[in-house]
Order: sequence, then C-alpha cells, then structure tokens
Amino acid sequence: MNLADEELQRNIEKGHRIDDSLDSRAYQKVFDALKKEPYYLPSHFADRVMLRIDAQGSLSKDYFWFGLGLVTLIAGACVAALLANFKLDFGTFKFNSGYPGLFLFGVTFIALIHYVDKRFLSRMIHNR
Amino acid sequence: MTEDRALVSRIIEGDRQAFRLLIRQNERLVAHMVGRLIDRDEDREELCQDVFLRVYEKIGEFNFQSKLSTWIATIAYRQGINHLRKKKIELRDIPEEESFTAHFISEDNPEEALADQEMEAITLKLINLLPAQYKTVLTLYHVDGMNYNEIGEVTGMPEGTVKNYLFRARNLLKEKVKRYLGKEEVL
Repeated sequence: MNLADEELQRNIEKGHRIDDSLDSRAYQKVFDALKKEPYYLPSHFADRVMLRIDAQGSLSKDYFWFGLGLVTLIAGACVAALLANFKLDFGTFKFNSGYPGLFLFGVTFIALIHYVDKRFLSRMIHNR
Repeated sequence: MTEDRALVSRIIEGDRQAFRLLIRQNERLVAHMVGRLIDRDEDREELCQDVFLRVYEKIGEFNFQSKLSTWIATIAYRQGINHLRKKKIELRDIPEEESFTAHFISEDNPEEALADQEMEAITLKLINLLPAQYKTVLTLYHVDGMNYNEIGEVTGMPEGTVKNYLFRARNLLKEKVKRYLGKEEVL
C-alpha cells in the first residue's frame, strides 16, 4: 500500500483538514460520491413483496389441488378401464407404423420450429 | 440482538406485520447492494423482492450468529452475484493490481466520454465500472456504515482482503478522478 495515499484516505475519512493538492481534492470527490445512495426503492415496496408472498402461498395450494385432481382422474380412469374391460388399441393411428420416417420427420420438424422460435425469434422480438 | 430475536419469533409465528417491519428496516440496505451491483433498473426491484422472498423462506434457519441485517445483506450479496452469473455478465476476479490499475485508469478519454457531466456524476459512473467485489465493499462501508468484520461476514472475504479492496478501490477512483480534475485545471 502507498503510505501517502493511505494517510490521505484516513484523514479524509476522519474529517481532518486536507491540503489543496490534486490527490487530496480527487479523494474528497471520491469520498463524497461514495456516500450517495445508489438506488431507492418505491414507497410501496413492502406491499409488493407481501403480495408476492401471498401469490406464492396460493400457488402452492393450486399445485396441491391440481395434484389431487390428477391422481383422482388417473384412479377413476383405471377403475373405469377395469369395469369396462377396456383394451388398448391405437385404431386409426396404426397407419403410422407403416411410415416411421414420416412420424420421425413430424416430431423433428415441430421440435425444430420450437427451437428456432425460442432461440432466435423470441430474442429478436424482445430486443426490438 | 434481542429485538432481532423478538422480530424473528413473530415472523415464524406467522405475524405478517412483523415481516413487513423487517422489510421496512432492511429495504435500504438491500437496495444499496442490489442497486450497486445491477445496472438495469427493471431488474433491480425484482431482485430486491427476490431477496426478501428468500429471507421469508429461510427465516427459520437464521441462527443469530450475526445481526439480522448482516444475514439479510449476505442473502442480497449472493442473489446479486447469482443474478450477474445468470445474465452472463462478466464477473471477473480482481486482476493483478498493476495491470488492472493501468487498464482502469487509461480506459477512455475524459474529454470525449464525459465532458459535459458533473464531477459527482462522473465519479458515480466510475464506481459502476469497478468489479463487483470492489463495489460491494465500498457500498457496505460508505453507504451502510458496516465495519470490516461485518463486511467480511457478508461477502465471505477475510478482514484483510476487505481493507485491501477498500483501499485499492478508492485509490483507483482517485487516480481516475485526478485525470478529470487535471483537465478542468488546464481548461
């Protein structure tokens, strides 16, 4: 550490009188600027945080009911399938088995469109 | 500390007004840290909110080893650093003193870049150009009045490093400001 600089910093911090050198004046400017608050939050900031806490609480309740609904639906479907002696059959979709390439192309094409949209288009739109 | 204990117990018991009080008591500290680290205004408030949501989630884990404000500042510091990483904003280690000093001081020409602005505004811009670690210690020390030990607790740096960063950061700023003051004198 540079002793002269250290001494100057200490003196300014303690509020001692400093000389009129360029170094001293520069330090004084720096210390004055450092006391400034960099950012102020809006007056209703606390309310906004409380709203987000409430929203999070209701979101976890939503997830609970969604999960319960899903389990009930699956259980109901299983019971119905058993009672109705249901057998799994792809019906019309069996035609796909003759065209595996077409099926693969469809899946890849849709995935590619999503990728291009997410990777490039969304960014371009947001940056406008 | 006793006040901290009482406040934390009330929050854990579900007292919403107590948490509101905690926000009011610490929002400026969080705003200073986040405001210094993050440039974009749109991100600042959201990140401050995230800090308090984290505090709300983790308040039960607070063990009173430090002041409540120091613990909150630690969360704010980590959230700020994570945000910078997530946004892929360069988070460099403090480089070798000499090369960094030379680079920082010589970067851009005072006359061209900031000629019309007030000295204070120039200095504030210069502070923003410093690495995140420097900005954090400067803010905690000068704006929030924390001591070296508390800053060390918040940032995880040893006390010696905190002192060193404070000195070096102020020295760097002084060297740069000197160039502007020098120009003023010539004009």
